[in-house]
Amino acid sequence: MIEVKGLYKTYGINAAVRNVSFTARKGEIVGLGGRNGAGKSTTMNIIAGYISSDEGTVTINGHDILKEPVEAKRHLGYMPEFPPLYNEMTVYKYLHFVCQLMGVPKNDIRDHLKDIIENVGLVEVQNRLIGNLSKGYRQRVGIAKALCGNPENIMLDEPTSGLDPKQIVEIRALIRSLGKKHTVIISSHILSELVDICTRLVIIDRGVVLADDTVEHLLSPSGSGRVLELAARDGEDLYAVLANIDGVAEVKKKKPYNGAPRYYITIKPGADVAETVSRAVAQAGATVTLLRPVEHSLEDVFLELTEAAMRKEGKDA
Amino acid sequence: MAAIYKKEIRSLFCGLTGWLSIALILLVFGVYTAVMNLSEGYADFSLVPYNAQIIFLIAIPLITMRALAEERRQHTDQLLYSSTLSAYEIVFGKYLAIVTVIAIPLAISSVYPLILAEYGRVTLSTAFSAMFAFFMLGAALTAVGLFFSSLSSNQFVSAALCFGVLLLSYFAKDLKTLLSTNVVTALYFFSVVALAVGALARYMTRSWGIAAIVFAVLEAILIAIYLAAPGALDGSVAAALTSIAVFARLETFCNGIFDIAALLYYLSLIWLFIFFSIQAFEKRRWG
Repeated sequence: MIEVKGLYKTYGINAAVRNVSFTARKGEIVGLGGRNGAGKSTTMNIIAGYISSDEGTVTINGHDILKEPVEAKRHLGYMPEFPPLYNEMTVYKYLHFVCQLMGVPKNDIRDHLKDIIENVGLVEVQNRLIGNLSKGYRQRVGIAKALCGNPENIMLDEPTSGLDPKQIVEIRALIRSLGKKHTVIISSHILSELVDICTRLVIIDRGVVLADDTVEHLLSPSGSGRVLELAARDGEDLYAVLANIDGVAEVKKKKPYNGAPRYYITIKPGADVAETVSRAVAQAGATVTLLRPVEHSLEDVFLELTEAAMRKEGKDA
Repeated sequence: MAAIYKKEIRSLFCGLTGWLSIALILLVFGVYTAVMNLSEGYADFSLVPYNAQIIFLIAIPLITMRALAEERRQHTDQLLYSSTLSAYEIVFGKYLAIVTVIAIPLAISSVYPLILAEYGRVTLSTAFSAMFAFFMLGAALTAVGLFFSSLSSNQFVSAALCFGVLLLSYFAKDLKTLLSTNVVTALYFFSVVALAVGALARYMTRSWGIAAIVFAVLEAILIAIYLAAPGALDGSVAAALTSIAVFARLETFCNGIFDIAALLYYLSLIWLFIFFSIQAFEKRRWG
């Protein structure tokens, strides 16, 4: 488990990270999402002990990264955005070196590396110089590096950056499989990728956490449940009719659809109201021209969150 | 630490650096042995390390420049920072690896006096104590070089800084005789030193304010001494130059004296610059 509380980091007058807090619990794949320069890598570097924070604490499996750095780092495998690789080393020798750095007992290194190399798909290239590897394989070596020492927590910064589509699919599958055994934190500025892989998302913008929630919850526009989009022509105004249906949490009027009045109906969690809505609309003498669930993309959510944050900052100023 | 040591040794011999440093030291020892002992016929082998010490001006920057600077440039320091090793283990592991590489040509060259002893009267105790002191000199200069490697991510900048400081140290003894020892000279000399310390403070902290404070405090102390007790500055330039004349201390060993004070001086220098290197390495984390 990784617990981050109240991190602050400034470079000169620029605040890279402001009051960042979140927790990655056992078995979760947590995604850090946000634009380039949002503070994702700074946060990860602080968690890994590569840079220090001005304020705040990071605990990894209960060990504070500053007070008990050796124990904390033993429980964390980290792949930075640019994997720290020695080009003059072979893959095997590099990973052997990393195992030594992570304190893996000498007698266990061979078996440990065999497992990692097979899991990450590096068997064919294990005796090749890292300097001669393609970007995809270098990324895999970076992930293998993070697995050395079998840490409970894995942290990957932009793991699919610069990869071709096939490699992206392979690396995503690999990360999903890692999530079964480890607590994983990954960062990406490609939000759809995080939706694809993660169970929970932490959205960061300009160093501030804008949202920390499950993927399902974030993708629900109101944050409270699924939303149906309804358009119906003729008949009376449906607002009151829809609002009175059991299981409906909220009704919003939207711009007309092909001339027909349009509504967004937020459904309470667990309720199924599609049939009731159809009947109610018919009884009100209207004809349904559109009834579909509203699909919200994470990009939409991100834009809403950043705009809301900017409006709030504008008001505060 | 053993992992860092082995990796560093491997890295030194993967490229040219390790081989070139060994070759340079062996070449200089070979040439001086051939000239001083074989050609000129001197039975005193300590003349060889005494004359060969100039090679450290090139070999030390060459062999130390990559050590920490290259890790920083290639971002491989991220691997070291996120490992379970402490900054001390990382820096000291690298230091020991470089010292090992320097020890190799010296171990080979230590056979020369034994060979020479077969053909003449060679004072082996003087020869080996001079070789030992030469090794200690190399070990002390390595710590200095490692410190300069920790200051920059550009290995050539590190090498240039290291070369400049070693050059000053090498000629410190000669400068002592050239510079006047009067009080005004001392005032100018130490003002330049204060400026250099201020520049280093600026580089380490990236703050002009701290650099200005460091310079102002040093300068104020200097002016206070100049006004209150100018006699204290008399001869201080010579004393300061003597204290940085690292190379000059080899001479006593070559004269047949096993100089414990010089050894302690070398050990202090090693400790001090390894400490500085660790601080500079750690500083990046707080930058």
